[in-house]
Amino acid sequence: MVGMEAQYEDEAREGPRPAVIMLGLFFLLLMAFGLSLSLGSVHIPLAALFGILTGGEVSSPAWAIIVHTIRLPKAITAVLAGAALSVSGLQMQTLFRNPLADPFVLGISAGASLGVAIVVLTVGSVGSVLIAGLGLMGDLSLAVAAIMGAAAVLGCVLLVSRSVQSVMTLLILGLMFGYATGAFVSILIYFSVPEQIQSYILWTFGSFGGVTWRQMPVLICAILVGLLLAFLCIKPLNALLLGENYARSMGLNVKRIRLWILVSASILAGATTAFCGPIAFLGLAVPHLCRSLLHTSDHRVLMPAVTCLGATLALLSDLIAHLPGSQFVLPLNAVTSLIGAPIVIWFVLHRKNLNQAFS
Amino acid sequence: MAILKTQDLAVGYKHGRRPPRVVARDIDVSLHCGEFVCLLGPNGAGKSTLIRTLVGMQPPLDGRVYLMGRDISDMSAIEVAQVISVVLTDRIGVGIMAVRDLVGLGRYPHTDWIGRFTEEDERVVSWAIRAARAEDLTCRNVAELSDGERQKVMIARALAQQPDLMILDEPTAFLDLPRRAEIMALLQDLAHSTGKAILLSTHDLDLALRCADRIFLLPFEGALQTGAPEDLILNGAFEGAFQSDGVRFDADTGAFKLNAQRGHASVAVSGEGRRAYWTKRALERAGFQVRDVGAEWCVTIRESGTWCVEHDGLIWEYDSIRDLIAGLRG
Repeated sequence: MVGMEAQYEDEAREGPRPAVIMLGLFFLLLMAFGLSLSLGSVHIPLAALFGILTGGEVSSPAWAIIVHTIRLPKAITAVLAGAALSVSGLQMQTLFRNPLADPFVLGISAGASLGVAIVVLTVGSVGSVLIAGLGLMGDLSLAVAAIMGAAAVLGCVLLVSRSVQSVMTLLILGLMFGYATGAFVSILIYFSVPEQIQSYILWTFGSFGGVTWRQMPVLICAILVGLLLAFLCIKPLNALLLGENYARSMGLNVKRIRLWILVSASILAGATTAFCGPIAFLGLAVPHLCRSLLHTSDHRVLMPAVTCLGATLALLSDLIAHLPGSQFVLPLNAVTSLIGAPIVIWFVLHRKNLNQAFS
Repeated sequence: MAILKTQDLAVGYKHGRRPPRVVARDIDVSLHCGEFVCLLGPNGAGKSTLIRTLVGMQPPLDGRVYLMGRDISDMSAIEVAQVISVVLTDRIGVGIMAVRDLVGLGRYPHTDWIGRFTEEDERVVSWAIRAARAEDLTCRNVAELSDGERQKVMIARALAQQPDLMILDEPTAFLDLPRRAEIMALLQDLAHSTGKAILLSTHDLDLALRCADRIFLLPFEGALQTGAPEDLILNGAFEGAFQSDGVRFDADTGAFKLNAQRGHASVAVSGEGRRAYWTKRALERAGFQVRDVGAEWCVTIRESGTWCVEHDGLIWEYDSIRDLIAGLRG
């Protein structure tokens, strides 16, 4: 009996301690951030990079411009978007107790898509009035359309969630909202000319490169608020692991917490989709990878881990999409899924504990 | 003072504008410190509905539930959680979690915003694990526990919440007989040693009659009756609550008996001890009416371990119960 106990203790402590893994993840994030500033169609040595960032001596003014206007905002966007999508994915998987849940199960990306589709695809037919109107907002127009679309769907879901008892009903409603908005997009596409369709499809590919310094404060604020809410929900999320009935019996106001989790996840996913397009896969995969790496479902550990790893993987995906040293750029969504799917498959097959996560 | 008290409680379901479906009504019960109470009743009588209403998972259709003298509908979830903890039949999919962490979730109403543990919390969790006799499970992963082990862990979690009242919905379902007896004895012991009130619903009539201080008996249609198990047997409450075509509650043995089919002969068994007991059981099972006097057949159990049947002056002898029954039927 004593031997058995010792064996289980060994199993529980298998691998490095969570604190070590967390530190490792953080260094990985710093490294990925450095690499994404240094690598690209033009290679900027790390030493020069340091000079540019600290405002020191700059060996090439062109490099400074590349870093300041292109790579730095892109890297910051990638960090924010990766963290946001992964955290909201984790929230959705726990709330719905479903391993396939991701930030977009509530139809948020579909709503954003509809907003963008309306702007991009109706510009030609409605005419220049609309463009002129949007011109006031300048380069924010697409983001604003996406935010409005996401917010409309989110509003519907939240409104319904107040009167819905079962979280499963909510999940199905979210999916249905998604299909319905998708149908509207199809109709819009059907009546559009190829050029418009192409610019819409470009948006659906996803990109971290579209956020300018002017838009950056909006994105930063939205995501920080979302993350703050998410971190405040850590304890309730742990209680929700036992299901809503047990959570309620432990003193949780389930309906209120559910609302806060939905609001937080929606802000995170909505803001990201608005500025970067519907980025697939990160929100689904990162929580699974973290559970498997850290061998726990405890959100006190998972939440910071997911934030770090999500940001890192977003940076790396973007790096790969830009094929360093070449002039080609691959669609970001293709990269996240093409690189991500094999990684997750490998994890599922080699670390059996992934199956336990939702047993 | 009663920890929990109900007044004219009616439980059931309400869907939209349709008239509510009342499952049980006029329930007036109370629970006191250190009491181990079993809620019994046939399927569909509303045991689960009553349990769900008492723990606040669904609103009562009528009447009130008082907790420590306060109306439960005026209390916040966290206030209720400090008085009642529950073990439900819900499937728990907690993911990758050590047993100790799961038990630690019971500290939820006592910890700060992020769930940090004080020394006191650690101490209570260790105590709860010991009290539920789950020490050897501490470092196991919840996903790999057996049903019986998981039930112990969920009891430990409920204990860690430090309630005055624990309510358990069919905690012995899905367990084998030794495990059921173990869980019931554990809960009885907890109620008496910690002074907590424990209420559980169960289908395990025999164990409930042997362990419970009091029984809440909920018949299919009719008023809930309470009392010591033996009182409810003697006043015929059990017979009334569980009557059906196929079986009847036998007040002599405190167990269910299958109703004898008509048309079979009556048999008297003479003999002592275990062999006689199981012979009677076998004859009842086979549909014979076992009676002591005025029987058509008479079975005598011999010292040598064989069965003798006398009828109209003829004697048959059998080596096993199986042959005996075949002989009587033939």
